Amino acid sequence: MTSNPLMTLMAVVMIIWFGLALFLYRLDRKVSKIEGVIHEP
Amino acid sequence: MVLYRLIFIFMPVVIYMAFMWAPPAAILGDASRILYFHVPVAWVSVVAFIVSGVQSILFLVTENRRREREYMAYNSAAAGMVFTILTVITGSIWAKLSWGSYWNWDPRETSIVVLMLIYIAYLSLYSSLKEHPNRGGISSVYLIIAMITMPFFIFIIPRIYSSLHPDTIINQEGKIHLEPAMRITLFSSIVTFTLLYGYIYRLMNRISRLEIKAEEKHYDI
Repeated sequence: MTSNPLMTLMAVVMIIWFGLALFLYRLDRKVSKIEGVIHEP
Repeated sequence: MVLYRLIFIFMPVVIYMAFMWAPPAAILGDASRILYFHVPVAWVSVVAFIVSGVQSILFLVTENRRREREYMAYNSAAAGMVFTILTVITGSIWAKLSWGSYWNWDPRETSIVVLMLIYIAYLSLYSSLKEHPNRGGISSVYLIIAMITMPFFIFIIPRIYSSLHPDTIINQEGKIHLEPAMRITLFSSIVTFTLLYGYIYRLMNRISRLEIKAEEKHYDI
């Protein structure tokens, strides 16, 4: 682990962001899939 | 929309800029880096509340797409609420670092809490009117009044009373007291957080649209 606390903090913020980004991306894809089904004639 | 998906690239870049690229502030040092998160989330909460107010006005003045306007106003207020909570949390951390206490009842802290209570009341009102035939109309009127009070809580009250809070970005002199690298980082962060709000807001609206479609087809949700 790095000794620079700023690096550690940045790593923590990055991990939180990647978790949130993954959640949003998966949700977006799921919504698109359901929209595809619902809008089908 | 492709534009909103840019957040997946922009956000890591902004995080890197905030922690590594921008220089520390003269007196506050590295603690000042919270500025690149606190100011953008505060900005986004204002934008979200304005959007919800505008959607409410459109709900009342237009005849078409009223159901859509109703949930668009609600979704923006709900998103704005989350960003307001983040503003309070980041502001509180910053207060601890620079003033020595998480909460000081400073005019700016107090005004944001009052604003938060106004929007919590809206969310409660909206959910309590679930079966009411004029739910959209009542909640729209409330949201418009809430939007009118917002500038007083954010821009006027903290300026009338003496506050420990540093000069805001939109200040009386019309100047931004930041070094160029800090300014670039701050504005990049503001743009990125605005895009993040746009992405989340759009996603919420799509889900609400699906809920309405499911209701119309009599699915039990």
